[in-house]
Amino acid sequence: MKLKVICRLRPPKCGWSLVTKTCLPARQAFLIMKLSIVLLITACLQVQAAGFAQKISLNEKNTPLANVFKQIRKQTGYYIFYKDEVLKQAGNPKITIQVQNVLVDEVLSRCLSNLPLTYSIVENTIIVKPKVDPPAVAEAPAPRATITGIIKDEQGNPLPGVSIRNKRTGGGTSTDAEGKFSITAELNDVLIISYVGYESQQVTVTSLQQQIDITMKIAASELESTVVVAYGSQKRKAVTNAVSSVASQEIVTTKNENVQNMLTGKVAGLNVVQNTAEPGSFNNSINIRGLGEPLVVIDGVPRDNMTRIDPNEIESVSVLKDAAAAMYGVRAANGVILITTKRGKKGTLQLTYSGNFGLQFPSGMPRPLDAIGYMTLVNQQELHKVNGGQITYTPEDFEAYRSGAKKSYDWYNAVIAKSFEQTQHNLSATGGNENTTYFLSLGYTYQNGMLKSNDLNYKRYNVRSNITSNLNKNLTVDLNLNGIFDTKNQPWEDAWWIIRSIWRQNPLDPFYANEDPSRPFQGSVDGTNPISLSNSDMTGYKTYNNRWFQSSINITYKIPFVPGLSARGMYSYDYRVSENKLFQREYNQYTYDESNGSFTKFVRNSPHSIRREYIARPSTLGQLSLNYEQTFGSHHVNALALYEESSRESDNFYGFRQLSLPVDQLLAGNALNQLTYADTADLFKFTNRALIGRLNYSFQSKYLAEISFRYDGSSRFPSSGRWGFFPAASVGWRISEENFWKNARALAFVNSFKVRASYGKLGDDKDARYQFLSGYYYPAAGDNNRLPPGSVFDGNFVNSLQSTGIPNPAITWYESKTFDVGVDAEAWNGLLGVTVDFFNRDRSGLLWTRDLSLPGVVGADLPQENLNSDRTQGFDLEINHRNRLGQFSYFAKAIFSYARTQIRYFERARAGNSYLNWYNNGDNGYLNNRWAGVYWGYGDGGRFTSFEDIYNVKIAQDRNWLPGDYIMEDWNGDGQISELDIHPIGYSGRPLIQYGITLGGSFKGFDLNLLLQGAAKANVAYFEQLNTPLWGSNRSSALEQFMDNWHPADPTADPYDPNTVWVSGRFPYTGTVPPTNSKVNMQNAAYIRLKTVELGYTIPSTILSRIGVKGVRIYANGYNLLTITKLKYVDPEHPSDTYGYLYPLNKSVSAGINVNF
Amino acid sequence: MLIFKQAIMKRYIYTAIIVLTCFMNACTKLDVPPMNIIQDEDVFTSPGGIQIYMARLYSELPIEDFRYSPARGLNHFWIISPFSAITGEALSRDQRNAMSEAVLYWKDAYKLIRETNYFLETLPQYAENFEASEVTHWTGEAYFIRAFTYFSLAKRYGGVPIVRNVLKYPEQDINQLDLARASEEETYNFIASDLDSAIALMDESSERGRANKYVAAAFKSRAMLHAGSIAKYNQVSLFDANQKRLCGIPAAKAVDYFKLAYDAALMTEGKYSLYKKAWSAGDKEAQYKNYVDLFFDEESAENILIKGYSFPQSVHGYDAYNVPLQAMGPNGYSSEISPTLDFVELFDGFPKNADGTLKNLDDNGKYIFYDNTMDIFANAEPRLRATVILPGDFFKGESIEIRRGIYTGPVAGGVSPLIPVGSTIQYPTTNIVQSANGSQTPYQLPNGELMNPAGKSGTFFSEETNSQTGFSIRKYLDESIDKSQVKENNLDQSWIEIRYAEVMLNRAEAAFELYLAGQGANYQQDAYTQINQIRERAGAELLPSAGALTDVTIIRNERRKELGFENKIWWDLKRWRILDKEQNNRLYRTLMPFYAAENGKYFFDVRKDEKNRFYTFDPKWYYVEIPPDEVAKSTKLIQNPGY
Repeated sequence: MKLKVICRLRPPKCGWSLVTKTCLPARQAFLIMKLSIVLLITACLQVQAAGFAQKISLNEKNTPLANVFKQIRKQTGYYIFYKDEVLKQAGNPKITIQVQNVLVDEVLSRCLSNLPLTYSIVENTIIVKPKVDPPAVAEAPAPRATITGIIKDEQGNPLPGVSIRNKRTGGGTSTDAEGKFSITAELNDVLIISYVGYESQQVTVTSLQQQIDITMKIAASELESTVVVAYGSQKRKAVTNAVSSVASQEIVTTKNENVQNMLTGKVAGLNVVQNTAEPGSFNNSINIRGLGEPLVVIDGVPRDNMTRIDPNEIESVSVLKDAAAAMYGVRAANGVILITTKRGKKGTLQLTYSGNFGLQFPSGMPRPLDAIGYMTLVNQQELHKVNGGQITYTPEDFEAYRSGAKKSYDWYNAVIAKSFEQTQHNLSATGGNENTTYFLSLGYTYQNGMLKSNDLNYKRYNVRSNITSNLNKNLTVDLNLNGIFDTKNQPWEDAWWIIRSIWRQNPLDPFYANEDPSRPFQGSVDGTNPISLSNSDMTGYKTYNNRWFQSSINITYKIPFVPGLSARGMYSYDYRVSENKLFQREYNQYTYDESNGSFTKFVRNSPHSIRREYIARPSTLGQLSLNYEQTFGSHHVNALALYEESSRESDNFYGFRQLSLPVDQLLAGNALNQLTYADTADLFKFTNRALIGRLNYSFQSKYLAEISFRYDGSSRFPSSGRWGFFPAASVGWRISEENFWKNARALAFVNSFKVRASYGKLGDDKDARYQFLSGYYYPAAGDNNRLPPGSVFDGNFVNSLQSTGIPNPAITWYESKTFDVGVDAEAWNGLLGVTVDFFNRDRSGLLWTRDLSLPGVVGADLPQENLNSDRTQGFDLEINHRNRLGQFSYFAKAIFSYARTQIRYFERARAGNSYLNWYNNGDNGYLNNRWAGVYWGYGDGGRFTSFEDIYNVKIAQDRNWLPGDYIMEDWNGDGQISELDIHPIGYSGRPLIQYGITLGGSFKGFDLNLLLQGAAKANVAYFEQLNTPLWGSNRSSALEQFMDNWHPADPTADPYDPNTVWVSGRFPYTGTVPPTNSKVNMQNAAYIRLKTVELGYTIPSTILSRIGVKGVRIYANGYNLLTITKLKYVDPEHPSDTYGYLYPLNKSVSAGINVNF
Repeated sequence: MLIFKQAIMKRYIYTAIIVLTCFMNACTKLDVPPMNIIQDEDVFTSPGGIQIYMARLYSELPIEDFRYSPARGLNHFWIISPFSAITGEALSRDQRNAMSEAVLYWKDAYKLIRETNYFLETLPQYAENFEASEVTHWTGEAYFIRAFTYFSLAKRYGGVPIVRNVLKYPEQDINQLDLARASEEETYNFIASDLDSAIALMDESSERGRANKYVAAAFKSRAMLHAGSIAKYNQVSLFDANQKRLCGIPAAKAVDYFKLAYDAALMTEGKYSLYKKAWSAGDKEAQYKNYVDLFFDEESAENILIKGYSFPQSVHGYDAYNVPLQAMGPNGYSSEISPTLDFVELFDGFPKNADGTLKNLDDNGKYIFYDNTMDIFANAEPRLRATVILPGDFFKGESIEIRRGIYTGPVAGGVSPLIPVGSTIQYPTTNIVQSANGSQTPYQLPNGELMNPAGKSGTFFSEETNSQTGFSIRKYLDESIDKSQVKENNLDQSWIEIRYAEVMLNRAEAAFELYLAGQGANYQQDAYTQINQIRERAGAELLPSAGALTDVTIIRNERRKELGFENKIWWDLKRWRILDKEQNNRLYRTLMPFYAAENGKYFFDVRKDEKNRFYTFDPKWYYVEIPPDEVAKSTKLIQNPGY
């Protein structure tokens, strides 16, 4: 069979049967799909949006029909399908035709009118075939025309951007700024008109001359909208669980490299804390209702790439906050985040480009002191000796720096850039016909770090292809392919170490020894020089590459003869590779001895070395399911039975060699000290099997009920106890559907009122190790800093084994019982929507070792046992308001969540007395029936403002004390400050309260979106340099803020002289450091910030149509621009982890454009 | 047509079924053991398996080596507050006063004991896989390891619970696992009996880094000498309800223990010898070199038990922390240990006053001038030079420049002490130019030359990463390591845990104690012989006769000199129960070289520690606190007195 196609590549579809009269065999269809996967990504992005004009001009005399087709193709861009033998059978006719600006339809019918040929147009494809075909297609084509119209709102204002779609052809358009549109349609075609926030309408074309004017009604509610839930989706009104969701357009208003940060403040109960904005580090803390790390499911598969997904690929994000998560069983105790990616939309190709470019600035990055400040504090510290001190720097030293005779070195500006760029681009394509739709996306993200050297940066490419094909009316195949390629580049030293070094660097130290730029100075603190550290050319580099390949195929079969019954199979194969290269480069630094003019060389990072790391993580998931949905009168039933198997594996190896030459390749190494090994933490295989069932029932859409279960088996547990049963149930009552409600006039303003409750059991196997096994780990764990992993015998290192300790054959996952009760209400036709949920989660069987109570003489590592329990309670709230005033439409959404955890049982040893019992165990925040997340320390007893105060203080005196020193609170009143005064003083851990307010509005072409986001009930306490000036050594500098301190007005005065006059300040005199666990060192980290502000403008389509573009929106966006907080000097979200040296958060401003072709 | 369509439909369905069920064929199994867990039958069936088991036991063996500090415990990479900084051997910038061990060694000990007991119980079950002699040797080796571990408990806590078998949990009730302390005497007897088993069962040789018959014997001399000292000198008592003495050993037992120590030491005679490869009689330079080499020669006949290191798996950072400032490696550590003048004065070979202190003043009370800082030490004992870097001595081909400051005042008629003798005040700023830290401003000398006020290795008046005392540590510093490699976690010279010189000193001390206890003059003679052999190798003055050995202090001081900075002296000072007297509000003394600008000569100021580090030893520290959480969860464990 010879098939001639005049076209470029096009999406596959079974519709080719129109040419061949038979559908392609399924096998072939699969093959074509497979091939197309490869081709699509390139091809469909190449398909031009050219020539959708339906009118053409021809002037042909006796031209072979085939050539006429070529002309038509040329002018319209339509694809024309025919078989050579068909033309041959028709006698290879020659055509004479002369037309000007005539519809294709007409041209074709004229050309073929006297021939035994007919044609049909499907979208932009023309199929030519013999006329003797079945009568169904033998009909003359229906007349068609361009229908125009105008769409307005209820106030009569034109609505721009309304989508109009021809149901039959799938073709679509949208209204311009005046609300006008035009679309091609045949008689009796149905046009679907839809617009976010308004009720969709369908209009049948009854006359080709018709002008269609439509008034859109604001959607009474979002009740009809669909929400993605576990293993399916549900109408919002039928949901009986606590599920929050957020749609793509709401997500992308925040511009960030990490989707998690784009969700901050937008989903009630989803708490996101950004710890750092370091490119490629993706260090966030994310939880649902304060419960711990949630399971993330992307397109039905648990996946680990939430931070790396391209936001433009996301259709919606749903958060399962309560027992609904039980469907995910043994991994779902902390709730589930469901991410659904976009699927193709029927219609001609829609190309969308969105891109932005932005500049970032550090948010809260303290700076180190200059020479004067440094010398001032050093002298203070030296004088701060009760037995008599001596200044290190004389007034002449100060004068030398003041006069400029000596130079103070600003290490911050030498290393950190003022601003640093960030950019994102995405090109996506969607389209398709009745049978096949596709969504293709290509994204690029680049983020530079704050180093002036530009050696810290991150780059990512995202590629996605989601294809849906109806192989026949009962069989649908979905194929999702996703590729992510990202790279983090950094200098050999980590960013936090560079920041630590900048802060510590002595401002008297020059950048270069004797100002010779070829000789970087060997700094006086640990020999570091931040300029060297931040420069890959000096110290070498680390490159972290991650590659994700993710695929899934989903086949749904509507079983004939049983209406409502369908079978579905899904298989997914994901593969993640981390491939890292760590190159340590030797470099030289120098000191200079003025007395004899000599340099001393220090060879650092010696010898050169290279380390390569390779970690591969394949995972598979397979599912088979049956779904049954049917309505019997007032009864609606939906049932699901599903079987699932999954596996997750990881394997790795590392290679290390020392190099003689700075050639950054493994092959360039020496035999000495070369090393190959594997990390046991990345060597595993976990499998799960599960049987899942769910039954939904509703009566008159009024009484709703759902029961579900999951019978889950995990390979992490012994065969005797690896299977768990996780049931859940929920009910809902739409009171507003009851007659008494409907009849009550007082309640008429409430459109919908639903109460619901859910309860279920979940599990978590994440933290469980293989503690049911006895034996040895080999090799033993060990490292350079503590116990080595083996011994040296006869000069050779011998790896050792390590006992796994006492096994616990009964170990299992912890269980979590979640209860939720909530109300969903809507009033005033959607002007107000409220959702409130109260929840309670009880966990039991939390893993903990009994070693606190088992005598040490036993001498073994005890296994973990299912010992402890806790309870988390809280509530979350979401309020929506949307309205339109004239041309100004706006919406507001507020979310608020509060959650707190209480320890219910904690296994521990008893203490000698009740105070110790309270204190010793409280130190870790662990005590029965006590709140978790408590910060323990000394209370604030004020501070001494004079020697008078010191003499008069009620507590035991210390002769070192000075005015300005802190007084620790004598909490127990025993007259002295001891650890007995330690008591709860604040919160540790995540904020208990998080909230967000999103405000959006549009007026004519302008739109504005604001997100205010905040957190409260959180404290932070810093250590090292954020706590102590001149930390670590008196050659270390200090942060600028410490100049605001108590000090004698005369800098050389003896501070212990009672006659010394003091100047007050925020911090005490240098040398006095508050205990890290004290209220004076703890700060309130509550904040509210303008997380996002975005101002956009949509260019009227009248302007754009001339350049062949459907829509353009330009915008400017700001991230973290304004923060209101009591916390000084650093960003309130900046954690104290890594001693407070983590790369700071960023503020950014960006400008971008969205274009629809 | 319909039939054809149905056929196609069937193909769809079949295809679908195949695709949907393909993963079912591979049916995911849930029995997936982790890949890095091995079992007894993998371990106890080959000598290689036994070796990796032993590699574990030795890696946990409580050897207080380069990676031990009382502040950080065992196997710690970052050594601050080294042992020598609390014994008075040295001052250290990270140590401000006396202290006891801060990390309580208890749980890790019992973990190692369990692993040893498990080995002793399991090996016989697999004995058929090995030669009988192998099984015997390994059994003895396990007894040695167990004894070594118990000794490290006994020297800290006194009597401790003795666990002879693997304690079973959960088979045994927690109450049954709560064990009471044995008496201190029982504990030492248990150690002796384990060592006797080890000596009886083990072969005469072994891999380097592992024990053999004579290692056990050498160790026994150490442990029993300790027990004898406790019996003789300890004053503390602690009894449990059954009048079992948990702290302290009846004085009457002292002789028995000294005898055990002596006999054990005797067993090693002829098996090891003092290292004298580069030694030459009368050649101080050769003797110096020989003593330096002693710590680096893996083949040394003096080595009894070493702990090996190997880059990159098992490393330490001794040189990085301890080299003098001017030999500092690229990562910027140096001079953690500054030996005190009090320690240096134990040695011979420099001018001394009648009371044995260094003589720096002439008869008129004026400073004695020297052309350079090494002149005063020109005749110093070679062992001293190999233990301590003296100001101006050579290290890595460089003169180590230690200078406190430049004296710019007049020298005519001599210079009187800059501060009153015994004072702790700071040096006056008139007539003295000094440096706060390493970035020095050169001073122009009368001859026009520029000179930094302080030496390249200190001493600075503010910064402390330099010599604090006028001296720097020398022992164990490896001259062959390139400066660029002097980094933490980068060094791998072996630690010598037991060397023959210690056994000889154990023997001399035990013998002398036996002599004092009236066991015969031949013991005095034997002690004299041992001491003189050590002195001869050290290049020190010899004792004229056995009769000159009149006081145990002579033997003790020999031990302090010979084993200085080897982390042994702490335990000696404790078992002699003299630490509380030595450290009674004590300030250690330093030797501060000054350069006199006017005559271009050096003088030395002897003073008390400028940083006012007062040392006071609390006598309760003779017995270390049992970890309070262990006491808290036990009904039987009795805490040591004073805690």
